[in-house]
Amino acid sequence: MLKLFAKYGRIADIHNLFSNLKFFFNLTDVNYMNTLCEIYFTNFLSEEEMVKAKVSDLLCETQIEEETLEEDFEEESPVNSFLKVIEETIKHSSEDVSLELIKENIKANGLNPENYTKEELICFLNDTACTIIERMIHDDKELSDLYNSTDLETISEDCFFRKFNSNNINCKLIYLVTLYMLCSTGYLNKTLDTYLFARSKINPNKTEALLLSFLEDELSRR
Amino acid sequence: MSKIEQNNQNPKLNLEKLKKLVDDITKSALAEGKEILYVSEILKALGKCGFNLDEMMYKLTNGDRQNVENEIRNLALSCANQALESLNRTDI
Repeated sequence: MLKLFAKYGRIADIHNLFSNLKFFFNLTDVNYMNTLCEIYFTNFLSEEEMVKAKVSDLLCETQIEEETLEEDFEEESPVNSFLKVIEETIKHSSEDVSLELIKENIKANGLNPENYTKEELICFLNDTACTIIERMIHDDKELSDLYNSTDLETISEDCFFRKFNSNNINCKLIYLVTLYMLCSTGYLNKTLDTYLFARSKINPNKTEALLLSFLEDELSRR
Repeated sequence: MSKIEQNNQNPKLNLEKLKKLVDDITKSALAEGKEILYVSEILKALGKCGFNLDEMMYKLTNGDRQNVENEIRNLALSCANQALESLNRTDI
């Protein structure tokens, strides 16, 4: 995951993940990374990044969820509309739902898949992966309670101090949150690699799996 | 000289030298039994070695920005590769 962040992520995200994984690296590299990031943040943060960092600080202070920020700043992705159409299609079909039927219904709802570019479809795939990860967290009561009640920074340190263990609930949550961050990065940068990395690690339900198939099919035609 | 012209000047930060100094500082700290160094301690030690980042602040160029960003990305990539190799070797 760090490799993908190194390639596509914001410096702040790379630094954050690197810090979480620092016990895997040698001390010189950790110190050098911290020094470089200090230089970067002190000298080179662009105005846009400064605003994002400031808003992010304010959000932490006022405990507003970050999703609200993203909804405000970015155009709404049609992923939720696609999901609704697929849900309705499944509800009204007695047999297995075909991609063709889904496409017809999506068109009937005023969303023409042919209007979307390759880049937009890559964004939608990353966005869908984010939606699935969120749902995976909220479907699991233990994970959801932990997510709502804990300071992620603390459990992240906890998790990595005790060495990463995928059976540990803290590590499981941190892994999913990091995967979410990666797909958000892919959404912003329009990168397919991030989605392809996450694809085998997410667990889509029937509706989400159909949406992924539909988007992948559309992408293969571009 | 305008700010834009200043920002387009050649890079001023010698990353090779910086890396070497951070390596020396880390080794000295380890020799004293200190495993965790705060950034402020590293910056202070760099200053003692004549590498004063405070003096450079806000004077660095766009070339420096690009070099620092590339260095961060390359370092993250190389550390991730090394960690994966070592995990594979231990068969975890």
